[in-house]
Amino acid sequence: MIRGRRPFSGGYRFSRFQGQPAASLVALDAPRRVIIPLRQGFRDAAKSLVGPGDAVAAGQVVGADEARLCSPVHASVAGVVEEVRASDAGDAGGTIVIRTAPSGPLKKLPGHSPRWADLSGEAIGDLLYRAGVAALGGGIPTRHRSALIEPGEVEAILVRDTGSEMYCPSLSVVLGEERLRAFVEGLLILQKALRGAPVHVAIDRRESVLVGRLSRALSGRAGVALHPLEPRYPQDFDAVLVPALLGRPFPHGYAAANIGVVTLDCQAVVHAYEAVAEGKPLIERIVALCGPGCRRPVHARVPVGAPLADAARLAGAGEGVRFVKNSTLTGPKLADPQVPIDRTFAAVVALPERGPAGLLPFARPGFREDAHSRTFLSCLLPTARAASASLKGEPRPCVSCGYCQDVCPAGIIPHLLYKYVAKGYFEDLLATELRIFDCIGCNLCSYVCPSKIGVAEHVRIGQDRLLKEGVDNSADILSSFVLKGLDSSRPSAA
Amino acid sequence: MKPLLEKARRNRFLKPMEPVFDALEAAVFGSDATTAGGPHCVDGLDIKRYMTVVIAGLTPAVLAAVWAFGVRSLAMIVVSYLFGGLVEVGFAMARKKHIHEGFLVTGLIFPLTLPPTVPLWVVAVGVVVGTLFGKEMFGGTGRNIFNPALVGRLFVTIAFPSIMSTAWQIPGSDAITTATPLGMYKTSQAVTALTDLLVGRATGSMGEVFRVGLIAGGLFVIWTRVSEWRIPLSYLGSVAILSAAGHRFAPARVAPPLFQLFAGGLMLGAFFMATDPVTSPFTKAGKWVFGTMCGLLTVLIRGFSGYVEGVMFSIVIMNGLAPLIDHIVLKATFRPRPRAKAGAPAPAPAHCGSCACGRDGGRGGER
Repeated sequence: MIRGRRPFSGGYRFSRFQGQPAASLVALDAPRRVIIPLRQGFRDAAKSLVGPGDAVAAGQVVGADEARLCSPVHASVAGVVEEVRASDAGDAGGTIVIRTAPSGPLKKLPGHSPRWADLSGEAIGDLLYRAGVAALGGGIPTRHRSALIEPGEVEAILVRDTGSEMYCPSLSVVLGEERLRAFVEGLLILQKALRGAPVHVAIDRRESVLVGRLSRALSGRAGVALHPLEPRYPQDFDAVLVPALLGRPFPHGYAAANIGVVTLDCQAVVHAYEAVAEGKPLIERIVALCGPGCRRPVHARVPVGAPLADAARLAGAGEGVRFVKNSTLTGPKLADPQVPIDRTFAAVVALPERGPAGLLPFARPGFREDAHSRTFLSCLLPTARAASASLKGEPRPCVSCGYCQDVCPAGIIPHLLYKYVAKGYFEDLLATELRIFDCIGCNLCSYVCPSKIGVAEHVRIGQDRLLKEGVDNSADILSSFVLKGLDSSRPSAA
Repeated sequence: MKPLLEKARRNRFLKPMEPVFDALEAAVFGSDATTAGGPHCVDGLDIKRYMTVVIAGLTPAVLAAVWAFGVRSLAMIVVSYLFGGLVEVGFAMARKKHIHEGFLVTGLIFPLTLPPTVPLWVVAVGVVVGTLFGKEMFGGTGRNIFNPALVGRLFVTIAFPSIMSTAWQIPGSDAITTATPLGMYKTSQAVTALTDLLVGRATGSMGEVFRVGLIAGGLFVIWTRVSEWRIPLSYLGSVAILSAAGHRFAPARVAPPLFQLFAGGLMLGAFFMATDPVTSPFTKAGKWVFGTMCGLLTVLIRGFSGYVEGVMFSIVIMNGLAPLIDHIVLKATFRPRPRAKAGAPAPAPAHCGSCACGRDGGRGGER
């Protein structure tokens, strides 16, 4: 066990924020219509197997494509296909709209068994693939094209949920009730499917009860290690956690799978158990509907494909809020209320667009302000912090205060890269000496910047521009790593 | 007030004044700007508050100056803000850019470095030269090489030597003397009592005499993380060590360490001027080098040059060297890596554009 170790330099420990989801779990009623995206999780879009007017059962596969890097997608409710929409954006892959009918029985996966230990690794892999669980994380390798690498190439399984974000689902809910046992069994199921690779579980060390239960449940299990970690953002990033827990350097710009590491969150492991032992396809996620924009922040069981608006109503989200998927630091903004919640969701955060108004805002006491500096009274108080999408100031020139440098987990100098990119100097030295490709995209530099500069955005612009000019770090990486699965990492020919 | 500002903004003749209205509105009502996304929620600190914290750290020194030298010190600060502000606003209007808050610190620090007796027009000349040639000529906030307040101080020191060095008001009285503690050591090796130096009973520049307040304010600003600790520590530490060594071998020239630490402008310079992030190195190793070199130069100039005080010169000289120090540190710590050009038989990285895995640093599409 690695207790309290600080495995990387920099990073940022967020205070507790207002609007954390309540520790209870409620169910979102089946919506009148579900919208099933054909691209859900790793990596490509599936092909629709149904047409308008077809009746589908809950759990029935409605999209799959053996030729591409993807796992099947399912109807999450029983109903009738209304429409198969082509995608607006190039690789989004379109959606299947299903009108919900009075509930029918769940279509279970053939071949599942509560006595999963009797199943072969390959049979387990088939179940994971057909359940859609293999699409989670960076893809779980099976004998189908569900991940970059083959099951035999897996060297470690990394399950992480260190709670380092401002808002994330509570582990005591995700692994609550019977799900803790399912989680433990799920770890062993995954281990069997992946040829006995060692399993590392990294969870928030503040969840002391859970840590105790898990360490009891896992004691004596060979090849399963539990790591209670400090919730220091961006602890959950592969590029941070793989070096910290496995002691191996990370090939920046490539995926963890390329060095044989499969990374998943805790809920994915529960899904693996439910698929293999109970035959349940992945048609429902536990999603934290939270943030200060919600009057009733909760954890909810959400059917895959339920529109955001339904979930927002359940959590009591008001007007003038911005919905963000999974991470307030890196997640996409969900602008359309009809956007479906799919199997890649763990949280929906509702942030008020505006912060509280007041005169002379720069001189406010800041009882609920979160800041890297100790410039608000909140640094002396245990108050829950307020979150909003306000910029909390005006953009100003960089004064080299060095905050971005302090928090950068990659050990690069974000403000210097910003200055090069802002002036249009796209030189090789950005890649060779200043290591622009070491950036892991955690966005902390933009978070702490008092000049309100989009530092991380500029780093990305610089990366893209350099890639266009043919400068990248692949020669560096390829000369020091033996990477797996590079052939299949290319976009498929289809 | 808001409708009035709106009205003024729409007035055709007041169009060039737009930066002023913008600055007023933003300072009083705050800005409506929201994040563009990634990150959606940001840290509460902005540059206005950042500068405000520095001003708060200087407040004890300002109050002590008013107590020691009378209301005239306030007049000097007002003149400095007025003329410094005019230059800043003028440039913002000419550039059609926002007014930046940096001059609020420059405009306060500059009068604090002056003898309390200087005529107000010298204050005005100094702050205009400092802001104009120290900052605006380089492109404004964040781009200047030298500390603007010190550029102004340097100019008036050289342009008006007699005004700047002959008349020192004794704190708490109207009496004028020609002697400062450092000057007295230079002429007669007389060491002023430390308590006099600490609580502001010795002569000196307006803002430097109350050293207890400067140290408390400086430590406060460091505690808030607005200022950092490496430069003051290495600056003061190297002055202490070098003056101890120097005093042992050349007591006639180099004053003893405790006296050196608390005499002259060292505390003001070490806590509030050498730490200016824009004009000091940004690398951690560079900060140590910068502070140490500042200390070395200060001890050398105080002991072995025709000048009595060396803090200003050493910081300005080191300001000029800061980019070079950073460059050397980067060369030493960031070793070049081999690079690949297009056409090399290297497979594309996994962030191929069709998936989210590279965008979020290989976390996979899941979170």
